[in-house]
Amino acid sequence: MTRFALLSVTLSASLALAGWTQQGDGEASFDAKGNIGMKIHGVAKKLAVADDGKALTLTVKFDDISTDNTLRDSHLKEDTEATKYPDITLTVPLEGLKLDGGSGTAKGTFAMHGQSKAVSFKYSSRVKDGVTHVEGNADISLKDYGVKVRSYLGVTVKPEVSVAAKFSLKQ
Amino acid sequence: MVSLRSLVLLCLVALPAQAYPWMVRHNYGGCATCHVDPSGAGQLTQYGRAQQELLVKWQTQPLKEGEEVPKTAGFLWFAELPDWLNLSGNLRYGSLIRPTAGPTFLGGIFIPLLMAVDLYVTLNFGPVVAHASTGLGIRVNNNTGRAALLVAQPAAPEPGQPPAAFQAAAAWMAREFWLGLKLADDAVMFRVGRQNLPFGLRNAEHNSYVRELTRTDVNVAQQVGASISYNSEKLRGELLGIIGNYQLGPDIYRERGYSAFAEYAFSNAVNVGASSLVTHAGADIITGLPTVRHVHGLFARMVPTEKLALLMEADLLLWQVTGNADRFGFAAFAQADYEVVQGLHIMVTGEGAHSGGVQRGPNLGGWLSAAWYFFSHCELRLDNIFRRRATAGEGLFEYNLLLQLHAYL
Repeated sequence: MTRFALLSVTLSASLALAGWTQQGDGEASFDAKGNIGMKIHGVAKKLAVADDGKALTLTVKFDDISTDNTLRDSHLKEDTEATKYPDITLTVPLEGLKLDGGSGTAKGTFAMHGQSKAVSFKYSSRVKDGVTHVEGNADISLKDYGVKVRSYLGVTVKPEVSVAAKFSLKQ
Repeated sequence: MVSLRSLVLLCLVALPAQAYPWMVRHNYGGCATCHVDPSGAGQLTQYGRAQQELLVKWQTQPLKEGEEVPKTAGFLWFAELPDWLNLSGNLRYGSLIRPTAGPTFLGGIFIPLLMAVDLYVTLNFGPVVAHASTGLGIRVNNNTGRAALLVAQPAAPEPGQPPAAFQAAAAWMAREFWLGLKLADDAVMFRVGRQNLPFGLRNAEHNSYVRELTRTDVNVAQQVGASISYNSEKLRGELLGIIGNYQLGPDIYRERGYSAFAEYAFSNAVNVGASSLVTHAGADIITGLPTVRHVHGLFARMVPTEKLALLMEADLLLWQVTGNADRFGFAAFAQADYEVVQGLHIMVTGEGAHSGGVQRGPNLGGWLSAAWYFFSHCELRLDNIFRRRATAGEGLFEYNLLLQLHAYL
Protein backbone atom coordinates (compact mmCIF):
# COMPACT_ATOMS: atom_id res chain seq x y z
CA MET A 1 0.00 0.00 0.00
CA THR A 2 2.78 2.36 0.96
CA ARG A 3 4.60 1.45 -2.28
CA PHE A 4 1.44 2.15 -4.27
CA ALA A 5 1.05 5.54 -2.58
CA LEU A 6 4.67 6.44 -3.32
CA LEU A 7 4.27 5.39 -6.96
CA SER A 8 1.11 7.42 -7.24
CA VAL A 9 2.80 10.51 -5.81
CA THR A 10 5.77 10.06 -8.13
CA LEU A 11 3.54 9.69 -11.19
CA SER A 12 1.50 12.72 -10.22
CA ALA A 13 4.64 14.76 -9.80
CA SER A 14 5.93 13.63 -13.20
CA LEU A 15 2.68 14.55 -14.89
CA ALA A 16 2.79 17.96 -13.26
CA LEU A 17 6.35 18.46 -14.52
CA ALA A 18 5.49 17.37 -18.05
CA GLY A 19 2.11 18.95 -18.66
CA TRP A 20 2.51 19.54 -22.39
CA THR A 21 3.26 16.89 -24.96
CA GLN A 22 4.10 17.63 -28.58
CA GLN A 23 1.74 16.70 -31.36
CA GLY A 24 3.33 16.19 -34.79
CA ASP A 25 6.84 17.19 -35.92
CA GLY A 26 6.69 20.96 -35.74
CA GLU A 27 8.67 23.21 -38.04
CA ALA A 28 11.28 25.92 -37.69
CA SER A 29 12.55 28.38 -40.28
CA PHE A 30 14.90 31.29 -40.64
CA ASP A 31 15.27 34.18 -43.03
CA ALA A 32 18.63 35.79 -43.58
CA LYS A 33 19.73 38.60 -45.87
CA GLY A 34 22.92 39.15 -47.77
CA ASN A 35 24.44 41.99 -49.70
CA ILE A 36 23.09 42.89 -53.18
CA GLY A 37 19.55 41.95 -52.20
CA MET A 38 20.27 38.30 -51.50
CA LYS A 39 17.93 36.39 -49.23
CA ILE A 40 18.12 32.92 -47.74
CA HIS A 41 15.18 30.93 -46.44
CA GLY A 42 16.02 27.88 -44.35
CA VAL A 43 13.58 25.29 -43.08
CA ALA A 44 13.79 22.45 -40.57
CA LYS A 45 10.89 20.04 -40.82
CA LYS A 46 11.60 18.70 -37.35
CA LEU A 47 11.26 20.69 -34.18
CA ALA A 48 11.27 18.98 -30.79
CA VAL A 49 9.34 20.53 -27.90
CA ALA A 50 9.92 19.37 -24.33
CA ASP A 51 8.17 20.47 -21.15
CA ASP A 52 9.98 20.03 -17.82
CA GLY A 53 7.17 21.60 -15.84
CA LYS A 54 8.85 24.98 -15.64
CA ALA A 55 9.73 25.79 -19.18
CA LEU A 56 9.21 24.71 -22.77
CA THR A 57 12.40 23.89 -24.63
CA LEU A 58 12.34 23.98 -28.43
CA THR A 59 15.19 22.11 -30.13
CA VAL A 60 16.24 22.12 -33.77
CA LYS A 61 19.17 20.14 -35.12
CA PHE A 62 21.43 21.76 -37.71
CA ASP A 63 21.33 18.47 -39.62
CA ASP A 64 17.62 19.00 -40.23
CA ILE A 65 17.99 22.49 -41.74
CA SER A 66 17.77 22.88 -45.50
CA THR A 67 18.29 26.10 -47.44
CA ASP A 68 17.61 24.55 -50.87
CA ASN A 69 21.34 24.55 -51.54
CA THR A 70 23.55 21.70 -50.38
CA LEU A 71 26.75 23.72 -50.44
CA ARG A 72 25.16 26.50 -48.43
CA ASP A 73 23.90 23.92 -45.93
CA SER A 74 27.44 22.64 -45.57
CA HIS A 75 28.79 26.15 -45.05
CA LEU A 76 26.08 26.79 -42.46
CA LYS A 77 27.13 23.75 -40.49
CA GLU A 78 30.82 24.62 -40.75
CA ASP A 79 30.32 28.23 -39.67
CA THR A 80 28.20 27.21 -36.68
CA GLU A 81 30.46 24.26 -35.80
CA ALA A 82 27.43 21.99 -35.95
CA THR A 83 29.48 18.87 -35.31
CA LYS A 84 30.49 20.27 -31.94
CA TYR A 85 27.21 22.12 -31.26
CA PRO A 86 24.52 20.20 -33.15
CA ASP A 87 21.46 21.85 -31.57
CA ILE A 88 19.73 25.20 -31.53
CA THR A 89 17.46 25.66 -28.51
CA LEU A 90 14.97 28.18 -27.24
CA THR A 91 13.94 27.80 -23.62
CA VAL A 92 10.85 29.68 -22.52
CA PRO A 93 9.47 29.77 -18.96
CA LEU A 94 5.88 28.53 -18.93
CA GLU A 95 4.96 31.19 -16.43
CA GLY A 96 3.29 34.03 -18.25
CA LEU A 97 2.84 32.13 -21.52
CA LYS A 98 -0.72 32.28 -22.80
CA LEU A 99 -1.23 28.95 -24.48
CA ASP A 100 -4.98 29.03 -24.21
CA GLY A 101 -5.51 30.89 -27.48
CA GLY A 102 -3.71 34.02 -26.40
CA SER A 103 -0.81 35.85 -27.92
CA GLY A 104 1.84 38.29 -26.86
CA THR A 105 5.50 38.92 -26.36
CA ALA A 106 7.65 36.78 -24.09
CA LYS A 107 11.27 36.29 -23.20
CA GLY A 108 13.34 33.16 -23.48
CA THR A 109 16.90 31.98 -23.80
CA PHE A 110 18.19 31.27 -27.27
CA ALA A 111 21.25 29.05 -27.46
CA MET A 112 23.49 27.99 -30.32
CA HIS A 113 27.18 27.57 -31.02
CA GLY A 114 27.77 26.93 -27.33
CA GLN A 115 26.52 30.37 -26.31
CA SER A 116 23.19 31.59 -25.04
CA LYS A 117 21.45 34.94 -24.80
CA ALA A 118 18.07 36.20 -23.66
CA VAL A 119 15.75 37.04 -26.54
CA SER A 120 12.34 38.57 -26.85
CA PHE A 121 9.87 36.93 -29.21
CA LYS A 122 6.30 37.27 -30.40
CA TYR A 123 3.93 34.34 -30.30
CA SER A 124 0.34 33.40 -30.82
CA SER A 125 -1.62 30.31 -29.88
CA ARG A 126 -4.83 28.78 -31.18
CA VAL A 127 -6.76 25.92 -29.60
CA LYS A 128 -8.64 23.52 -31.84
CA ASP A 129 -10.02 20.11 -30.88
CA GLY A 130 -8.05 20.12 -27.67
CA VAL A 131 -4.74 20.77 -29.43
CA THR A 132 -2.87 24.04 -28.98
CA HIS A 133 -1.17 25.32 -32.14
CA VAL A 134 1.64 27.77 -31.42
CA GLU A 135 3.56 30.07 -33.75
CA GLY A 136 6.33 32.44 -32.80
CA ASN A 137 9.20 34.47 -34.21
CA ALA A 138 12.23 36.37 -33.01
CA ASP A 139 15.12 38.38 -34.36
CA ILE A 140 18.63 37.35 -33.41
CA SER A 141 22.14 38.36 -34.35
CA LEU A 142 24.69 35.68 -35.15
CA LYS A 143 27.32 37.96 -33.62
CA ASP A 144 25.73 37.38 -30.20
CA TYR A 145 26.53 33.69 -30.52
CA GLY A 146 30.09 34.04 -31.73
CA VAL A 147 29.28 32.84 -35.25
CA LYS A 148 31.51 34.28 -37.94
CA VAL A 149 29.71 34.30 -41.28
CA ARG A 150 31.89 33.72 -44.28
CA SER A 151 32.05 35.83 -47.42
CA TYR A 152 31.60 33.43 -50.34
CA LEU A 153 32.62 34.62 -53.81
CA GLY A 154 31.70 38.20 -52.99
CA VAL A 155 28.40 37.45 -51.25
CA THR A 156 28.12 37.83 -47.49
CA VAL A 157 25.21 37.02 -45.23
CA LYS A 158 24.28 39.71 -42.73
CA PRO A 159 24.38 38.60 -39.07
CA GLU A 160 20.79 39.69 -38.36
CA VAL A 161 18.50 36.70 -38.81
CA SER A 162 14.76 36.23 -38.28
CA VAL A 163 13.80 32.87 -36.82
CA ALA A 164 10.34 31.36 -36.58
CA ALA A 165 8.78 28.20 -35.21
CA LYS A 166 5.41 26.51 -35.23
CA PHE A 167 4.34 23.44 -33.35
CA SER A 168 1.36 21.80 -31.70
CA LEU A 169 0.91 20.76 -28.06
CA LYS A 170 -1.59 18.84 -26.02
CA GLN A 171 -2.02 18.97 -22.29
CA MET B 1 10.67 48.45 -95.70
CA VAL B 2 11.48 44.97 -96.91
CA SER B 3 14.95 45.21 -95.47
CA LEU B 4 13.60 46.40 -92.17
CA ARG B 5 11.28 43.41 -92.04
CA SER B 6 14.30 41.27 -92.69
CA LEU B 7 16.09 42.93 -89.83
CA VAL B 8 13.20 42.00 -87.60
CA LEU B 9 13.48 38.40 -88.82
CA LEU B 10 17.13 38.39 -87.91
CA CYS B 11 16.18 39.25 -84.39
CA LEU B 12 13.56 36.50 -84.39
CA VAL B 13 15.90 33.61 -84.87
CA ALA B 14 18.49 34.35 -82.24
CA LEU B 15 18.24 33.50 -78.58
CA PRO B 16 21.59 34.40 -77.12
CA ALA B 17 20.15 35.57 -73.85
CA GLN B 18 21.37 34.04 -70.62
CA ALA B 19 18.76 34.93 -68.07
CA TYR B 20 16.71 32.78 -65.77
CA PRO B 21 13.91 34.78 -64.17
CA TRP B 22 12.60 31.47 -62.80
CA MET B 23 15.51 31.49 -60.32
CA VAL B 24 12.95 33.19 -58.11
CA ARG B 25 12.05 29.57 -57.35
CA HIS B 26 15.29 29.31 -55.40
CA ASN B 27 14.69 32.56 -53.52
CA TYR B 28 16.84 34.52 -55.93
CA GLY B 29 14.27 37.25 -56.49
CA GLY B 30 17.01 39.69 -57.37
CA CYS B 31 19.52 39.24 -60.17
CA ALA B 32 22.53 41.16 -58.92
CA THR B 33 23.96 38.37 -56.77
CA CYS B 34 24.48 36.15 -59.81
CA HIS B 35 24.81 38.57 -62.75
CA VAL B 36 27.32 41.32 -63.48
CA ASP B 37 24.41 43.41 -64.79
CA PRO B 38 22.50 44.30 -61.60
CA SER B 39 19.19 43.83 -63.41
CA GLY B 40 20.12 40.43 -64.77
CA ALA B 41 21.05 38.61 -67.98
CA GLY B 42 24.43 38.06 -69.54
CA GLN B 43 27.65 37.42 -67.74
CA LEU B 44 27.55 35.66 -64.40
CA THR B 45 29.53 36.64 -61.34
CA GLN B 46 31.75 34.04 -59.69
CA TYR B 47 28.95 33.47 -57.21
CA GLY B 48 26.49 33.08 -60.08
CA ARG B 49 28.70 30.43 -61.69
CA ALA B 50 28.67 28.47 -58.45
CA GLN B 51 24.89 28.72 -58.14
CA GLN B 52 24.44 27.63 -61.74
CA GLU B 53 26.45 24.53 -60.92
CA LEU B 54 24.47 23.86 -57.75
CA LEU B 55 20.94 24.85 -58.71
CA VAL B 56 20.66 24.86 -62.51
CA LYS B 57 22.85 22.03 -63.77
CA TRP B 58 21.47 18.53 -64.15
CA GLN B 59 22.82 16.45 -61.25
CA THR B 60 23.32 12.73 -61.54
CA GLN B 61 24.08 12.62 -57.84
CA PRO B 62 23.71 15.26 -55.15
CA LEU B 63 26.68 17.20 -53.87
CA LYS B 64 28.19 15.39 -50.92
CA GLU B 65 28.41 17.15 -47.60
CA GLY B 66 31.51 19.28 -47.41
CA GLU B 67 32.11 19.01 -51.16
CA GLU B 68 32.83 22.33 -52.85
CA VAL B 69 31.73 23.47 -56.31
CA PRO B 70 33.73 21.51 -58.92
CA LYS B 71 36.31 23.23 -61.08
CA THR B 72 34.15 22.70 -64.14
CA ALA B 73 32.08 25.65 -62.95
CA GLY B 74 35.01 27.94 -63.72
CA PHE B 75 36.01 29.81 -66.87
CA LEU B 76 36.71 27.36 -69.71
CA TRP B 77 35.62 24.58 -67.34
CA PHE B 78 38.92 24.61 -65.42
CA ALA B 79 40.36 28.08 -64.82
CA GLU B 80 40.35 29.74 -61.43
CA LEU B 81 40.52 33.48 -61.90
CA PRO B 82 41.48 36.14 -59.36
CA ASP B 83 38.61 38.02 -57.71
CA TRP B 84 39.25 41.15 -59.75
CA LEU B 85 39.01 39.39 -63.11
CA ASN B 86 35.88 37.79 -64.52
CA LEU B 87 36.16 36.26 -67.99
CA SER B 88 33.54 34.29 -69.83
CA GLY B 89 32.02 33.78 -73.21
CA ASN B 90 28.80 32.89 -74.87
CA LEU B 91 28.71 30.40 -77.74
CA ARG B 92 25.35 29.47 -79.14
CA TYR B 93 24.69 27.41 -82.20
CA GLY B 94 21.32 26.31 -83.43
CA SER B 95 19.30 24.82 -86.22
CA LEU B 96 16.07 26.45 -87.25
CA ILE B 97 13.50 24.56 -89.21
CA ARG B 98 10.82 26.77 -90.72
CA PRO B 99 8.27 24.61 -92.48
CA THR B 100 5.86 26.50 -94.65
CA ALA B 101 2.17 26.29 -93.96
CA GLY B 102 -0.19 24.00 -95.82
CA PRO B 103 0.67 21.18 -98.21
CA THR B 104 4.33 22.16 -98.42
CA PHE B 105 4.72 21.89 -94.66
CA LEU B 106 7.43 19.24 -94.86
CA GLY B 107 9.42 21.25 -97.34
CA GLY B 108 10.63 23.50 -94.60
CA ILE B 109 13.74 25.56 -94.63
CA PHE B 110 16.64 24.28 -92.57
CA ILE B 111 18.76 27.17 -91.44
CA PRO B 112 21.97 26.66 -89.47
CA LEU B 113 22.44 29.54 -87.10
CA LEU B 114 25.53 30.76 -85.39
CA MET B 115 23.66 32.83 -82.87
CA ALA B 116 26.31 34.19 -80.59
CA VAL B 117 30.08 34.24 -80.40
CA ASP B 118 30.68 36.67 -77.58
CA LEU B 119 33.42 37.15 -75.05
CA TYR B 120 32.81 38.96 -71.78
CA VAL B 121 35.31 40.65 -69.51
CA THR B 122 34.58 42.31 -66.19
CA LEU B 123 37.14 43.97 -63.97
CA ASN B 124 36.34 44.49 -60.29
CA PHE B 125 38.40 47.02 -58.38
CA GLY B 126 36.61 47.45 -55.07
CA PRO B 127 33.43 49.39 -55.76
CA VAL B 128 34.43 50.12 -59.36
CA VAL B 129 33.32 47.69 -62.06
CA ALA B 130 34.22 47.80 -65.75
CA HIS B 131 32.40 45.49 -68.13
CA ALA B 132 32.61 44.88 -71.87
CA SER B 133 31.46 42.26 -74.30
CA THR B 134 32.74 41.74 -77.78
CA GLY B 135 32.22 39.21 -80.48
CA LEU B 136 31.80 38.42 -84.10
CA GLY B 137 28.48 39.46 -85.51
CA ILE B 138 26.86 40.66 -88.66
CA ARG B 139 26.56 44.32 -89.52
CA VAL B 140 23.37 44.83 -91.46
CA ASN B 141 22.75 47.86 -93.63
CA ASN B 142 19.40 48.93 -94.88
CA ASN B 143 19.10 49.14 -98.67
CA THR B 144 18.39 52.85 -98.41
CA GLY B 145 21.43 53.36 -96.27
CA ARG B 146 19.41 55.22 -93.73
CA ALA B 147 20.09 52.91 -90.82
CA ALA B 148 22.46 50.24 -89.68
CA LEU B 149 22.07 47.69 -86.95
CA LEU B 150 24.36 45.16 -85.45
CA VAL B 151 22.97 41.71 -85.04
CA ALA B 152 24.59 38.50 -83.96
CA GLN B 153 23.68 35.97 -86.55
CA PRO B 154 23.78 35.40 -90.30
CA ALA B 155 20.99 36.79 -92.37
CA ALA B 156 18.05 34.48 -92.90
CA PRO B 157 15.81 35.35 -95.83
CA GLU B 158 12.10 35.56 -95.35
CA PRO B 159 10.14 33.03 -97.37
CA GLY B 160 9.48 34.47 -100.78
CA GLN B 161 11.97 37.27 -100.35
CA PRO B 162 15.34 37.50 -102.07
CA PRO B 163 18.16 36.78 -99.64
CA ALA B 164 20.02 39.99 -100.44
CA ALA B 165 17.36 42.46 -99.42
CA PHE B 166 20.01 44.12 -97.34
CA GLN B 167 23.76 44.17 -97.16
CA ALA B 168 25.36 42.13 -94.43
CA ALA B 169 28.99 41.76 -93.51
CA ALA B 170 30.87 40.16 -90.66
CA ALA B 171 31.98 42.66 -88.07
CA TRP B 172 33.30 42.87 -84.58
CA MET B 173 30.56 44.08 -82.34
CA ALA B 174 30.08 45.11 -78.74
CA ARG B 175 26.70 44.74 -77.15
CA GLU B 176 27.70 46.14 -73.80
CA PHE B 177 30.47 48.30 -72.43
CA TRP B 178 30.01 50.23 -69.25
CA LEU B 179 31.72 51.53 -66.15
CA GLY B 180 29.97 51.11 -62.81
CA LEU B 181 30.29 52.26 -59.22
CA LYS B 182 28.79 50.24 -56.36
CA LEU B 183 27.69 51.97 -53.18
CA ALA B 184 25.76 51.22 -49.96
CA ASP B 185 27.06 47.67 -49.49
CA ASP B 186 26.59 47.01 -53.21
CA ALA B 187 22.85 47.79 -53.03
CA VAL B 188 23.21 50.84 -55.29
CA MET B 189 25.05 50.91 -58.59
CA PHE B 190 25.67 53.79 -60.99
CA ARG B 191 26.60 52.89 -64.54
CA VAL B 192 27.51 54.79 -67.68
CA GLY B 193 27.96 53.23 -71.07
CA ARG B 194 26.15 50.89 -73.43
CA GLN B 195 23.80 48.67 -71.48
CA ASN B 196 20.61 46.65 -71.55
CA LEU B 197 17.34 48.51 -71.16
CA PRO B 198 15.81 48.03 -67.71
CA PHE B 199 12.29 46.95 -68.56
CA GLY B 200 10.05 44.01 -67.71
CA LEU B 201 11.17 40.42 -67.54
CA ARG B 202 14.66 39.62 -68.75
CA ASN B 203 13.30 36.41 -70.20
CA ALA B 204 15.54 34.19 -72.30
CA GLU B 205 13.06 34.32 -75.20
CA HIS B 206 14.35 37.68 -76.31
CA ASN B 207 12.33 37.49 -79.53
CA SER B 208 9.05 37.18 -77.65
CA TYR B 209 6.56 39.90 -78.52
CA VAL B 210 7.06 41.67 -75.20
CA ARG B 211 10.75 42.08 -75.93
CA GLU B 212 10.40 42.66 -79.67
CA LEU B 213 7.67 45.30 -79.65
CA THR B 214 9.01 47.13 -76.61
CA ARG B 215 12.51 47.02 -78.17
CA THR B 216 13.98 45.91 -74.88
CA ASP B 217 15.58 42.60 -75.78
CA VAL B 218 19.11 41.87 -74.68
CA ASN B 219 20.25 40.83 -78.13
CA VAL B 220 20.39 44.10 -80.05
CA ALA B 221 18.45 46.66 -78.01
CA GLN B 222 21.23 48.05 -75.83
CA GLN B 223 21.52 51.82 -75.57
CA VAL B 224 24.15 54.23 -74.37
CA GLY B 225 23.18 56.09 -71.24
CA ALA B 226 23.56 56.53 -67.50
CA SER B 227 21.70 54.41 -64.98
CA ILE B 228 21.15 53.91 -61.30
CA SER B 229 20.00 50.58 -59.90
CA TYR B 230 18.92 49.45 -56.45
CA ASN B 231 18.76 45.92 -55.08
CA SER B 232 17.49 44.93 -51.66
CA GLU B 233 15.81 41.74 -50.53
CA LYS B 234 12.35 43.24 -51.09
CA LEU B 235 12.75 45.94 -53.70
CA ARG B 236 14.83 46.16 -56.84
CA GLY B 237 14.77 48.53 -59.76
CA GLU B 238 16.73 50.54 -62.27
CA LEU B 239 16.37 53.82 -64.14
CA LEU B 240 18.32 54.43 -67.35
CA GLY B 241 18.58 57.78 -69.05
CA ILE B 242 18.99 56.94 -72.73
CA ILE B 243 21.18 59.08 -74.95
CA GLY B 244 21.04 56.82 -77.98
CA ASN B 245 22.17 53.69 -79.76
CA TYR B 246 25.39 54.75 -81.43
CA GLN B 247 25.55 51.54 -83.45
CA LEU B 248 22.55 52.83 -85.33
CA GLY B 249 22.77 55.78 -87.62
CA PRO B 250 22.38 58.48 -88.71
CA ASP B 251 21.53 60.33 -85.54
CA ILE B 252 17.94 61.07 -86.50
CA TYR B 253 17.05 57.40 -85.86
CA ARG B 254 18.46 57.32 -82.33
CA GLU B 255 15.91 57.13 -79.54
CA ARG B 256 16.43 59.29 -76.46
CA GLY B 257 14.49 59.22 -73.23
CA TYR B 258 14.30 56.84 -70.28
CA SER B 259 13.59 53.24 -69.41
CA ALA B 260 12.90 51.98 -65.90
CA PHE B 261 11.43 49.21 -63.83
CA ALA B 262 10.79 48.45 -60.16
CA GLU B 263 9.90 45.09 -58.67
CA TYR B 264 8.71 44.31 -55.15
CA ALA B 265 8.81 40.92 -53.44
CA PHE B 266 5.54 40.57 -51.55
CA SER B 267 6.77 37.20 -50.31
CA ASN B 268 9.34 34.59 -51.29
CA ALA B 269 6.80 33.36 -53.85
CA VAL B 270 5.31 36.53 -55.30
CA ASN B 271 7.24 39.30 -57.07
CA VAL B 272 5.36 42.05 -58.89
CA GLY B 273 6.89 44.85 -60.93
CA ALA B 274 6.10 47.81 -63.14
CA SER B 275 8.04 49.18 -66.11
CA SER B 276 7.98 52.40 -68.06
CA LEU B 277 9.77 53.65 -71.16
CA VAL B 278 9.41 56.88 -73.10
CA THR B 279 11.71 57.74 -75.98
CA HIS B 280 11.81 60.23 -78.82
CA ALA B 281 13.41 59.75 -82.21
CA GLY B 282 13.55 62.23 -85.06
CA ALA B 283 12.67 59.31 -87.31
CA ASP B 284 11.38 55.97 -86.12
CA ILE B 285 13.42 53.12 -87.54
CA ILE B 286 10.31 51.37 -88.83
CA THR B 287 8.07 54.22 -89.98
CA GLY B 288 10.58 56.97 -90.62
CA LEU B 289 8.30 59.43 -88.83
CA PRO B 290 9.27 61.62 -85.85
CA THR B 291 7.91 59.56 -82.97
CA VAL B 292 7.56 59.59 -79.22
CA ARG B 293 7.30 55.94 -78.16
CA HIS B 294 5.60 55.07 -74.86
CA VAL B 295 5.67 51.62 -73.27
CA HIS B 296 4.23 51.03 -69.82
CA GLY B 297 3.47 47.71 -68.23
CA LEU B 298 3.34 45.28 -65.36
CA PHE B 299 5.13 42.00 -64.81
CA ALA B 300 5.14 39.28 -62.18
CA ARG B 301 7.12 36.24 -61.15
CA MET B 302 5.42 33.68 -58.95
CA VAL B 303 6.25 30.31 -57.45
CA PRO B 304 2.97 28.48 -56.72
CA THR B 305 4.73 25.18 -56.04
CA GLU B 306 8.33 24.16 -55.50
CA LYS B 307 8.67 22.89 -59.09
CA LEU B 308 6.73 25.56 -60.92
CA ALA B 309 7.56 29.16 -61.74
CA LEU B 310 5.14 31.51 -63.50
CA LEU B 311 6.35 34.55 -65.45
CA MET B 312 3.95 37.18 -66.73
CA GLU B 313 4.21 40.53 -68.45
CA ALA B 314 1.71 42.85 -70.10
CA ASP B 315 2.66 46.14 -71.75
CA LEU B 316 0.68 48.98 -73.28
CA LEU B 317 2.27 50.56 -76.35
CA LEU B 318 1.66 54.03 -77.71
CA TRP B 319 3.27 55.72 -80.68
CA GLN B 320 2.89 59.50 -80.70
CA VAL B 321 3.59 61.26 -83.97
CA THR B 322 3.89 65.05 -84.06
CA GLY B 323 2.27 65.30 -80.66
CA ASN B 324 -0.79 63.20 -81.47
CA ALA B 325 -1.49 59.64 -80.45
CA ASP B 326 -0.98 57.76 -83.68
CA ARG B 327 -1.22 54.10 -82.70
CA PHE B 328 -2.03 52.06 -79.60
CA GLY B 329 -0.90 48.50 -79.17
CA PHE B 330 -0.07 45.90 -76.56
CA ALA B 331 2.24 43.00 -75.90
CA ALA B 332 1.65 40.22 -73.40
CA PHE B 333 3.57 37.14 -72.28
CA ALA B 334 2.88 34.30 -69.86
CA GLN B 335 5.10 31.33 -69.22
CA ALA B 336 4.92 28.31 -66.96
CA ASP B 337 8.34 26.82 -66.26
CA TYR B 338 8.23 23.36 -64.72
CA GLU B 339 11.42 21.79 -63.40
CA VAL B 340 10.90 18.07 -63.98
CA VAL B 341 14.15 17.29 -62.21
CA GLN B 342 16.99 19.68 -61.52
CA GLY B 343 18.50 20.60 -64.88
CA LEU B 344 15.51 19.65 -67.01
CA HIS B 345 12.82 22.26 -67.64
CA ILE B 346 9.60 22.14 -69.63
CA MET B 347 8.18 25.53 -70.57
CA VAL B 348 4.77 26.39 -71.96
CA THR B 349 4.45 29.95 -73.19
CA GLY B 350 1.58 31.99 -74.54
CA GLU B 351 1.92 35.46 -76.01
CA GLY B 352 -0.07 38.07 -77.88
CA ALA B 353 0.56 41.49 -79.34
CA HIS B 354 -0.87 44.19 -81.53
CA SER B 355 1.28 46.87 -83.10
CA GLY B 356 -1.62 49.25 -83.59
CA GLY B 357 -1.35 49.15 -87.35
CA VAL B 358 -3.81 47.96 -89.96
CA GLN B 359 -3.41 44.33 -88.99
CA ARG B 360 -6.58 42.38 -88.38
CA GLY B 361 -6.54 41.04 -84.85
CA PRO B 362 -3.54 40.45 -82.65
CA ASN B 363 -0.40 38.48 -83.27
CA LEU B 364 -0.63 35.29 -81.24
CA GLY B 365 2.04 32.84 -80.25
CA GLY B 366 2.45 29.61 -78.37
CA TRP B 367 5.72 27.98 -77.39
CA LEU B 368 6.38 24.49 -76.17
CA SER B 369 9.98 24.28 -75.05
CA ALA B 370 12.41 22.09 -73.17
CA ALA B 371 15.82 23.00 -71.76
CA TRP B 372 18.37 20.52 -70.51
CA TYR B 373 21.34 21.90 -68.59
CA PHE B 374 23.29 18.73 -69.14
CA PHE B 375 26.77 19.82 -68.05
CA SER B 376 28.50 22.73 -66.35
CA HIS B 377 27.35 25.89 -68.15
CA CYS B 378 26.04 23.95 -71.14
CA GLU B 379 22.46 23.90 -72.33
CA LEU B 380 20.51 22.06 -75.00
CA ARG B 381 17.21 23.71 -75.78
CA LEU B 382 14.32 22.85 -78.07
CA ASP B 383 11.60 25.34 -78.94
CA ASN B 384 8.43 24.66 -80.87
CA ILE B 385 7.17 28.11 -81.77
CA PHE B 386 3.69 28.46 -83.19
CA ARG B 387 2.69 31.93 -84.28
CA ARG B 388 -0.17 33.60 -86.01
CA ARG B 389 1.26 36.77 -87.44
CA ALA B 390 -1.55 39.23 -88.10
CA THR B 391 -1.69 41.02 -91.43
CA ALA B 392 -4.18 43.26 -93.17
CA GLY B 393 -5.66 40.04 -94.53
CA GLU B 394 -6.22 36.66 -92.93
CA GLY B 395 -2.88 36.53 -91.20
CA LEU B 396 0.05 34.16 -91.54
CA PHE B 397 0.60 30.99 -89.55
CA GLU B 398 4.23 30.25 -88.77
CA TYR B 399 5.86 27.29 -87.15
CA ASN B 400 9.51 27.27 -86.14
CA LEU B 401 11.39 24.39 -84.63
CA LEU B 402 14.56 25.62 -83.03
CA LEU B 403 17.24 23.40 -81.57
CA GLN B 404 20.09 25.13 -79.80
CA LEU B 405 23.33 24.16 -78.16
CA HIS B 406 24.58 26.78 -75.80
CA ALA B 407 27.93 26.80 -74.09
CA TYR B 408 28.78 29.53 -71.65
CA LEU B 409 32.53 29.59 -71.27
